[in-house]
Amino acid sequence: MAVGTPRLYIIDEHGPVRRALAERLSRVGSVTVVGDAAEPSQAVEAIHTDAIDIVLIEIKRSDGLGLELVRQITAPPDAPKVIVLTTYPTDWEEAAAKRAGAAAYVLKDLDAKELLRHILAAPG
Amino acid sequence: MYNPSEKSVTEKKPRKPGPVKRPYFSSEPSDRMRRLHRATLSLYTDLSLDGTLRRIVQAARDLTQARYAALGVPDGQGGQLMFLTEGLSAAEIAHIPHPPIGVGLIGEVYRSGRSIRLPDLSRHPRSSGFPAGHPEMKSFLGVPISAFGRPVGQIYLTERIGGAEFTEEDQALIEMLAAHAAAAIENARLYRQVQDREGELAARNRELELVNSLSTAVSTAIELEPLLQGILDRVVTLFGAKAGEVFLRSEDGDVFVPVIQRGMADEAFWAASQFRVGEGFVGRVAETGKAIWTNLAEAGEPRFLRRSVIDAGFGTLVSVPLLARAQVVGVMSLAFLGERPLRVDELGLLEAIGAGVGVAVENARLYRQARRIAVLEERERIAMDLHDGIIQSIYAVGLTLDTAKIMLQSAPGESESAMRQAIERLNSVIRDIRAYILDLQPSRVPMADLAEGLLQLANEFRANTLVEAEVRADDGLGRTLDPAVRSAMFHISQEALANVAKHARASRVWLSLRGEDGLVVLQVIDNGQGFDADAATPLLGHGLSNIVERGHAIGAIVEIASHPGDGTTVTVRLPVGRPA
Repeated sequence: MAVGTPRLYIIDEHGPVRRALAERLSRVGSVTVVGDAAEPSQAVEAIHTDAIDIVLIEIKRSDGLGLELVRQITAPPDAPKVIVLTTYPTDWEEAAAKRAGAAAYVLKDLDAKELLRHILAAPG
Repeated sequence: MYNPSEKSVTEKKPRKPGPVKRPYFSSEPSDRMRRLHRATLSLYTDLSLDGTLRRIVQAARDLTQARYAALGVPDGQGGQLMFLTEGLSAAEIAHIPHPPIGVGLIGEVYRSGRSIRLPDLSRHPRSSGFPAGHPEMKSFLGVPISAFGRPVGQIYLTERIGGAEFTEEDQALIEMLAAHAAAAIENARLYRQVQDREGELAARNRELELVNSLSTAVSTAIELEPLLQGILDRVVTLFGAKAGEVFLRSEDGDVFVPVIQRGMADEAFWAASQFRVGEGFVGRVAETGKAIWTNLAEAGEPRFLRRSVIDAGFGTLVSVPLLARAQVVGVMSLAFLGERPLRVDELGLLEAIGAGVGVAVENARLYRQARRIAVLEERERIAMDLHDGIIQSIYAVGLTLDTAKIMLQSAPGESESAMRQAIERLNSVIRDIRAYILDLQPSRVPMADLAEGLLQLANEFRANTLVEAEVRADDGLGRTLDPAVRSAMFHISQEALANVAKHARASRVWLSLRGEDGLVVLQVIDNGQGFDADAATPLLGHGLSNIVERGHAIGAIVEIASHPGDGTTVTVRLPVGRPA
């Protein structure tokens, strides 16, 4: 994989959020937003083929598959780092997300620095 | 005091027993026979024992012209069960210290089974005299009443008016009267037995009614306290208890707390406000699961029973467990004044009631739990709605503004268009929030005509969702329904439409209100994606449970039919034309 800025993918059912996030993060310079999707199948395929380093995923989904998606994405040995985003936090959801393999559980606040700190933190 | 010239020569003659074959009527015999006949006929007109005895003693006095007459009924142990008198004034009776105790002549008539006739009763060797305050009595005629060889009573006559002593003819008349009296007393006894049986049957009936109404109440009641109150009231009345109470196991542990009390308004029965398992009567029943009958005066439970309860005359306490799935969920107690023995069948009935009430308690508890879960799910749903629509939208606007800020210097044109976009999105967020709040508003006053209300709902629905909505209502039907029904059906329609908007992805909705076969039928039908109606659990969280509840509250039957891909039909059928 080419050395450069981390490649980032966004999964969120809410279209405006997806596009606004992509727009905002692409202005940072230190990451490359490769793509975004609402549907799990589309996202999983893109993550496979596009050499994604970091996935931002909204955990609360109308299909209830948020946690399952985290699990699937983080399952392979060379899996990307997954950062879970949420509109409002609950303790059990945070614990479940971490168990499913998420590297971070971040509240959707308008604090780009905080979000970037998690994105650029060493994978682990 | 006594007249020494009186002789007791007649005593032997009346000792001849047996029927009188040869009447010795010395004067107006036919007249006295007629009077006897009339008197005996009157004995059969009244079937009550008291009335019959009273008529016998009155007839005996009339026939013999005695100043005083009395009738005793033996209690079978040498004493008197009843002693009726005629001719004594109330003042005279008040002066007599006690009724006859059956030791003197009265006892003699009973023991010998023969008539005794005396010119002066004080001269008889068996005479034990009168107690102080008893009026003076001299001439005496005592005749036994026997049925089937068994003494059932005696007639006593004293102080024959106008004559010194009772005659043989008097004795013969009274003996004839006594024969009829025996039959009348037996009749009255049999009648009383029959009545007692009937009373018992009626009591059984009342018990059955109670058990029956209990089982209905248990299966339908959701609010526990009114149910317990109703049952306790009935049980207290049926058993003639003075007070009653129900303790229930607290939700979080092994403590039993009182929830319903009756007949103890002034003061609490117990010195403790709650009982642990094994503690006091209540705790013992909770521990053993068995009923307890206690004589309070003897048992004495100084730790828990208030002294004032005993002082108030409470003497008996019965406590039965309220059982559900072999667990004691509560204890019902009845308190009686004085000593109240409890028959085995009464205890059995109480235990059966306890088991029924236990099931009701358990049902109510499960219902509360389900409600709590539904409330939690509802909160979860609201949180999800806020997530889906509002927070996400605002977050997106915020991100856009953040981006615009970055571009303000480098690309002012792009920055401006990003800000314009943000403002548009904020406006749309405000509209979303308004719609959401409108949807959360549960109660709106429906109009006098339900059909008009449905039209209004359909118009709003069309405007908000762009889904086509159509209303069909029978002419005038919407105005004939009473306010509770109108309100319930309006809200059911509102709820059903909200469900269509949220879940159905329909393009068309039909609302209808019609009358058919004594039913008012409300239907909300959509052509959306439907759901699996057989999966019963989601009902609790959905607006569907509200629809069902509202329908049941007005006595309607609610049917929700849906299949994936086939749309959803909500049907509410309310029987009308008879009192609800």
